[in-house]
Amino acid sequence: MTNRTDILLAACLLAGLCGPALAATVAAQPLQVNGDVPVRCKLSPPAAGTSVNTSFAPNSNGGDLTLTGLVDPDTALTRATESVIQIPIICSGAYSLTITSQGGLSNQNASAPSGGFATHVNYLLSANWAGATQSVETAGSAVTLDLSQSGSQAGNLSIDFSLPAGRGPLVAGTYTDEITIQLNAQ
Amino acid sequence: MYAIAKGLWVVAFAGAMAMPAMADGPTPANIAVKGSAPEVCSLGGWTYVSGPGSFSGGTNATVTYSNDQMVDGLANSILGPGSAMTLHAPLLCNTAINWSITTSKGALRLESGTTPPSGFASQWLYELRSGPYTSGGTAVASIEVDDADGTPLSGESHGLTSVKATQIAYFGLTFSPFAQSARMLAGSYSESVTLTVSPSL
Repeated sequence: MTNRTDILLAACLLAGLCGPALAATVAAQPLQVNGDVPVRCKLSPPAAGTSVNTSFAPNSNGGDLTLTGLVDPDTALTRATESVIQIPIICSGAYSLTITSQGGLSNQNASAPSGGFATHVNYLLSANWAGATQSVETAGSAVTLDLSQSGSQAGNLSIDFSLPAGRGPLVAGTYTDEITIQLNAQ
Repeated sequence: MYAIAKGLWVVAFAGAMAMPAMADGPTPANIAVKGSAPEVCSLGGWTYVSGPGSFSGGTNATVTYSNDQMVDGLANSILGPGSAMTLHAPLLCNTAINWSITTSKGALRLESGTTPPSGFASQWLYELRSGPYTSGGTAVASIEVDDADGTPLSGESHGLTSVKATQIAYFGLTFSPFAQSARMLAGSYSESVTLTVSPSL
């Protein structure tokens, strides 16, 4: 007890908080400060990178990627098309990061294809993040790239949309797909 | 102790300010991909498939009967059964189309316009079969059969749905002159047949 009083006295002297009444009342009030910092992740608005026969317009949901020259006007075969989209990402801990395509470009309004024409065309989807690259070619049904990490990371997620030349020929109409980037702190 | 606690709160507040926009819930971003394939209807040049005449190809093709394929030594008509000429033109359409055939004269007619004397003729009437086919030679739609009667064919428009049109590999045309009992006036005979194909959207 004597040692403890000495230590408290020394501590209060060092802190300059000793008063006349303190010498008569000895009290220990240890304060423990705790706090948990959750994993925080942020997905910033995307920006256009390399572009061939495409244009990209960011919006509040992500963005619109327009294929400005989908097919050759003489043959209805696809033209070489590419777009790289950069998305800044910060995560302070473990997280899941997935990029999902609905399966390729489809013309939902067209009748069943015939005569060698197509109403669906597949493309190559590639994503580069934190030094890792994953690629897939769509095949008609939803497909997901998984770039989840167990540690913190900050940088640009690079998504590469690539449609080779010569696919089709395509029935006239509008072709659409949706690529969803899902970032979820663990 | 109050001073220490106050200092900790300041630190905590500063930390919160550093990450105001970060969310720890699921954060999706959607990229809508969209492109349009325009209506394409590409008609290639004519190719010669069968028949007795000579042929110079292309978009504006010409088929020519030789003299001895048209008349014998006494100017009697030879053209008739066995004189049919068939041409194909590759056709690629990715949408619904309309097509039609027009002719300039309605007969393989003497160009000079000379009125033939009795016992002579100055034109061959003919049958024209036309229509779209698959690569396997199956008709995609009803084949139009026109018997030229001496007046130009104005061209009935035929519509084909997208499903039908995308099956077309080529357009076929068969020109079959009818036998002519009279002797034929000397001179150059000609007829022009035009195929028009256009998207119908």
